[in-house]
Amino acid sequence: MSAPSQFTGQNWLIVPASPLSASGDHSNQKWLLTLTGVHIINLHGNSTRQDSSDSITERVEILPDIQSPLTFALNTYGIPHPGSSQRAVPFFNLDPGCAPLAIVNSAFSVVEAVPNPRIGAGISVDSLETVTETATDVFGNTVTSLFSGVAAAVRARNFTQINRVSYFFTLLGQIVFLKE
Amino acid sequence: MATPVTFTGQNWLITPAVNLPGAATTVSSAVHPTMSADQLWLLVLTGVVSLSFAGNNQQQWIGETVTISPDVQNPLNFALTSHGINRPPVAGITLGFNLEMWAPYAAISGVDAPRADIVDSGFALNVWRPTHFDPNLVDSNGKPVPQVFQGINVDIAVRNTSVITAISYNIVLVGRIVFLGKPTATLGKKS
Repeated sequence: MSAPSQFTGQNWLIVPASPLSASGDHSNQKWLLTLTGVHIINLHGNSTRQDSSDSITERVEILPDIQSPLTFALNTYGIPHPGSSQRAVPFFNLDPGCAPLAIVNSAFSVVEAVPNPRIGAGISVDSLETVTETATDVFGNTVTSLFSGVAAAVRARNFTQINRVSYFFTLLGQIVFLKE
Repeated sequence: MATPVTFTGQNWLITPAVNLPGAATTVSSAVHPTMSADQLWLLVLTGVVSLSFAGNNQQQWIGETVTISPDVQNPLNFALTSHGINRPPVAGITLGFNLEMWAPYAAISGVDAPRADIVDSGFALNVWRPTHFDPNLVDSNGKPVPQVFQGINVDIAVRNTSVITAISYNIVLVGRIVFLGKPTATLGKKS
């Protein structure tokens, strides 16, 4: 089950990853986009077994705001925008390769009511998967790796409760425009 | 009282970033023939700090703000030296990094639970932000540099008797190198 994205903080940074074209053609411009923050989740383990395999795992989709950094980059570097008449919204089309990182940043064990207080606890982020989509941009081109977010498999053992997952995504790609 | 932190490791990386359109190119050629004072740099700071922040309340969270201020003098000096950029004649020069963008990150990387029988324990790193900028800073030419990087503040918390012992950080910054200090030409002058 995917939890909705809620954050206690989001940061971003975007810079060109290649020199800006002097000709004004920015269609192949590469960008380095860094997204960091803390994502709120609420995952409760619910087992009293001492078997470490008996834990609960949740797929948490971390979907940071990317419109703000992309709009900032377009405005700051003077990149032409298709314009409001086309109701175009910028998205980020990934190059092959993505460097996501996510770590459990808050956890505690709730076992007051458990008869055996020595049952142990555990937390982990077991896997990270970049979530992308395919779409057609406003110029009719197919874009196959639109960044949507990162799905983290977060695991809590026994009565451990996980409250925060922090993330650090380093992305390389191009800005593309989709219809609103 | 603020919990002191000790760096157990620091790393850095610095490289020129693509400049903004229309960036000034009027810097003195004595400073650098091709790079302008508006040159943007990408600076990455990573490392681990050790600390000892212990809980002391049963079934209660207690919080603290920890300041992490990595060394920036070494990477900025390296950038100037490796790109052949001269320092202006400034007495008592220190370098600063005046920010355009920032994306810090921090995570708890060490926790102790000293009492095994206490199981209602926990840890948290809730949010981070840049340490307050000094709005009154000026560079050696008297130009305001209001966003000089000072570090990051990290809000942490522990529950029961847990102890946070280490925090890792990865701070990505884009900004300009600025020279802080008084020009030597004005030193010794009586007003």
